[in-house]
Amino acid sequence: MDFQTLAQLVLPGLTTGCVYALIALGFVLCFNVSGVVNMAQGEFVMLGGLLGAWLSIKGVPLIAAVVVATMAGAVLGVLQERLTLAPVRRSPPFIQITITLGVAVIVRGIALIQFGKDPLSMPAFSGDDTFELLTAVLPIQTLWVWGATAAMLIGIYYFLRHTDVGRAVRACSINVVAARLMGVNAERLTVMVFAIAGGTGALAGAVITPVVLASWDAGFVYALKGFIGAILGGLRSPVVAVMGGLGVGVAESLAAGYLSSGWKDAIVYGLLLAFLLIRGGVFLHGRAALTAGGGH
Amino acid sequence: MKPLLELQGVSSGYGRIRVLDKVTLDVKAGEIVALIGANGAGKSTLLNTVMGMIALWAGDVRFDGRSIARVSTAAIVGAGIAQVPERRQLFGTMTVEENLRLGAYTRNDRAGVAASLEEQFGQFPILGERRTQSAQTLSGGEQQMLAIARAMMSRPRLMLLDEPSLGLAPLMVARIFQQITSLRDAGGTILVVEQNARAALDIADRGYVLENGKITAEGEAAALLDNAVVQDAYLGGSGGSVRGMEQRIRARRREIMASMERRS
Amino acid sequence: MRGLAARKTTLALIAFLVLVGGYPLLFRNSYEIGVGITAGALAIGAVGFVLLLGYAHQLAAGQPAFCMIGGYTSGILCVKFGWDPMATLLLGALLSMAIAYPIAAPMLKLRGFVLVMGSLAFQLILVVVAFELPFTGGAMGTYGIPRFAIFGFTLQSDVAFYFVVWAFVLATIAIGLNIDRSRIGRALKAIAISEMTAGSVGMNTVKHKVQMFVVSAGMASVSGSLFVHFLRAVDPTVFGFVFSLNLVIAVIIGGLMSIWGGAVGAAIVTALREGLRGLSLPMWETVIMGALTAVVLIAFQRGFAGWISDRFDRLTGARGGKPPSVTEPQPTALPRLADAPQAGTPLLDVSSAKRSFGSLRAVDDVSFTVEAGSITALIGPNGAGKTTLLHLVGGYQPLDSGTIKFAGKPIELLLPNRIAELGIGRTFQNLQLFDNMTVLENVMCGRYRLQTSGILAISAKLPRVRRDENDVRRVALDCLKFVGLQGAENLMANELSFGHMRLVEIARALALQPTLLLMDEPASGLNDTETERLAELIAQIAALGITVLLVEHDMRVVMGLADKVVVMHHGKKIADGPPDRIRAEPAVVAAYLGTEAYETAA
Repeated sequence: MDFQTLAQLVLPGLTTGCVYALIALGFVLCFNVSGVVNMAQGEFVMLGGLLGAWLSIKGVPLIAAVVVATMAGAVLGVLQERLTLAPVRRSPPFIQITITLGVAVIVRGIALIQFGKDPLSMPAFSGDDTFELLTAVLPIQTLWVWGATAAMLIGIYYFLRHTDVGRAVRACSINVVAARLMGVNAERLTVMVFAIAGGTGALAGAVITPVVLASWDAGFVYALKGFIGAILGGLRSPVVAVMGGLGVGVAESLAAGYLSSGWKDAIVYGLLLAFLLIRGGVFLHGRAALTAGGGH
Repeated sequence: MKPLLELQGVSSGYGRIRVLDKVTLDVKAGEIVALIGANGAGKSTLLNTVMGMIALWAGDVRFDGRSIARVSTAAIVGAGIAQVPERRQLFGTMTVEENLRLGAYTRNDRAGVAASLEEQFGQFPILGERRTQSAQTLSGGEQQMLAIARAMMSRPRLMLLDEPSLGLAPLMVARIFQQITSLRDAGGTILVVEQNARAALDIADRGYVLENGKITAEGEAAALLDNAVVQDAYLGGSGGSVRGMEQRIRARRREIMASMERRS
Repeated sequence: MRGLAARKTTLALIAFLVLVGGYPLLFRNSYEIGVGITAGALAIGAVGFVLLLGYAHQLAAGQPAFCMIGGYTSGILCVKFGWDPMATLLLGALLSMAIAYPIAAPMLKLRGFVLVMGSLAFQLILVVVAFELPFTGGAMGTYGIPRFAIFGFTLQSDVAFYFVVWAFVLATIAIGLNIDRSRIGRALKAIAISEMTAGSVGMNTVKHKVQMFVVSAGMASVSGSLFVHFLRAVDPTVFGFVFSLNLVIAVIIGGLMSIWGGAVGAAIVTALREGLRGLSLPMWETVIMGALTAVVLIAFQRGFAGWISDRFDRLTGARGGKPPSVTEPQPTALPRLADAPQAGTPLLDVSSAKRSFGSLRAVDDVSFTVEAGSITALIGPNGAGKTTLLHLVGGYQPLDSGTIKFAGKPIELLLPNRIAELGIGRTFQNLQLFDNMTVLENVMCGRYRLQTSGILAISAKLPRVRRDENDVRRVALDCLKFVGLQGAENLMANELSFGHMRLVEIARALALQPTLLLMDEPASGLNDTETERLAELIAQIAALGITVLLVEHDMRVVMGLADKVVVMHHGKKIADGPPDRIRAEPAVVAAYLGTEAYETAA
């Protein structure tokens, strides 16, 4: 294991990890505010990528394509919350989760019809050159991904920490009843959070497309990997979720490099399964097990 | 003088369960009113109904003459009512300052909020010392002070306090109740709900007794402190209608046991 | 209602036979028969999935992993080793169930979304394994799988295979219906509402979830085997994520809680796909499936089968009708408790019980006894620790230290369902009825611990199962008579008034034939008349020889009924004795009324 191979695996892994990190963050934000795990989270990413690619193929300037894709993601998030979740707020969680599954399938289906079966590509934002970092050779687009991710993370961080509304969002996730007593409108905030999750997901999808191509069926695997990051933080901690998402990207890249590309997925899923089972209290017995359980 | 808060024939509950049964009471500006009663009597339900967290089944709630029965909680906070919830309900992982700022959520004046923040730190210096600490690291008494300060941040005309003595050591209870008295002296109006009847009636001007969702006694606080009336409400003692059902139940039990003996 | 349910089943069966029998008459060409075959194979998996997802609410979306195991087993054994297809189908099913069994318990400890992801991860791992292992044929899979044969008798025509597949569907539905109408079916429905409450009547929730996981795995495997015999090939993409989605969607569209719904949903999903293909719109399949799923879940959660069932009920006037007026309770409806422990002996013995949550000492060194044949009340101000204590006795919280003995036997380590099995029944403050069942079924749930039929006997609907069910029904009706709800049996549990729902809960606890009954604030939410009737009912329960431990705030009930009152405050016991002594004790008065505000100031 020489340093250059390591760097050549870790750094691109960090790049795909950025997407997983943003998906993980989206999961955590939506869950904290609404109590629902949004299985359509990965579809926002897919849609952002496909829409951006499709627009740029049609001749729309890149910046505009990316902006439109991001806004489409935000709008989709809002629509999902208003049309499919708000009406069933009082239903048991597993029904709400299954509805988000239905939404994910609808979005996939629309993507298939609109954009076709084949993966689409987008030109790199500032050309196809490469640069060198820590002895690894990376495409310039990597900087766009890192940059956009950093910008979104900083933006969300600032929003949550330093704005009144952001504080209210955090309050809802800690104690929604008390938040209501402060005059906070939890329903409106839920819509906002879904818009943020949708928009950031779509933007992530758009900036990563020049590197990995966008395809109508990519959403679910993205969601699964992003979910791993989110669950590492117990679906509560945004920071752990982001770190987790980055970690999954790196782990996946290392596994693909040192083992075969086929087994890498099995290993990632296997680790997820093991983690879930341990966290779910598979080794706990008796009454103590009643209070564990993982998931919600 | 028209009361600041009026409840007229208020009934409400959760799902199918009726908790409040035609409750009528009022709070005049500048006074402390105590609402006392045993567990399960409906005290918290009453406060939550006033705040618009629970829908009314019947009756009306009027604040400063205007009905707030169908108004949203956010609007009620904006109109000038703030609640200090049972068991504080602070945002534990957020700092003292963030908790306070959330109390001012419905206000739009940045400068005013900043001024209110300083004012609360002046009232509760210990909170100022701990302004960047997370709320869950504060002691029980400090948390209660934070909860009160947070409610004050919305500049309410009426404060609703839900069992402020819960979980506090007697010394802290005394301090907190002293605070409540100063709030009234500074011009505030307060409705305090308490299980600790004596402490509440000690500082209140008037009181109401709530039993099984109904008001069964009201009057000047000093008069209510008379043991017989209040004790009845809690433990079914020497007088009142309470005794009737209890006697009947006892009699029936004896009858049933007797007929059981006869059969065997 | 039994008559009505039987009629519905007969009609459903007739409809099934007509549609299945009639289909090949109308759609004759080999392609169309093939569609019928795939619909049937999917239906088998769907029915299994209904039991797991619809009944037990376990969204283990990765169940098609077992379709894969079944499919590959059939494929490999037939092609590489020349086995008979029917034999491979049976072996595949046994193999799938054998694999499902050990992973079921750990997997089902996960809940909600975590379970979805966990089980999908499992499925995707298997897909990768199928890709990578040369033994399974890698990406190309195994092909050249022969036509289906039953122990040497090859089915040459597609139509014959079609009927065989649908015969399997019918068998699967029969098993599903037998399970539905048994104690296991009730247990599953109870688990879907609240595992905690299910445990309180003695239901072994883990065992039944595992059973459904295994049964569903077996059915999925049969489904997979039949699929590959139709496709004549199998590869890793056949039972992938898209197949999972189709299965989930079939179950939802057909009706989550309906066994027939599994078949209905599978047929609809297949018909939709073929219809769209026919209209040259195959790409629309995904969107329409997703939309249907969301719409059904939002607007009509009982799906198509549920809708048809409702229409039928409405046509025959089975629903509606007024809830019964209160009938008088019949104290003679239930017999005295056999083997009641001798009155006066300690039945429940709590000794130095301690339980803390962080720095909060919820129960702080509490000791008291409940004498057999008595009514004991546990009271105390808000936050005193009464509920926690009840949870400690009931099995929902672990003790930090101390012991709890029931009839001399330590129970502090036992889980709720084991505690119920010993004869301790419970009612809950905020009513925990099973909304998805009728009043009678709720009460029958209480009888669970005294029923012994296992999954095999139930699946096969042996005569002793039927007899057992009749017994249970009779006892449940007696319990309802005792509490005064005769006539309400067939209403859904949540169609009653709150006071009546309380009575159902008590009837359910009585059906358990408890020696000790724990009641958590039974008078909460009742008006004065209802409260007095409740007190009378509790007195009658005590007259049966059942010991009662009552947590209650309403002092009229406490002081009127209790032989002994135990008072808690700040987690400690501060007094215990007869009611009249307790109410005058200074410590108790102080606890309730509070101390002077300025006592210790200055």
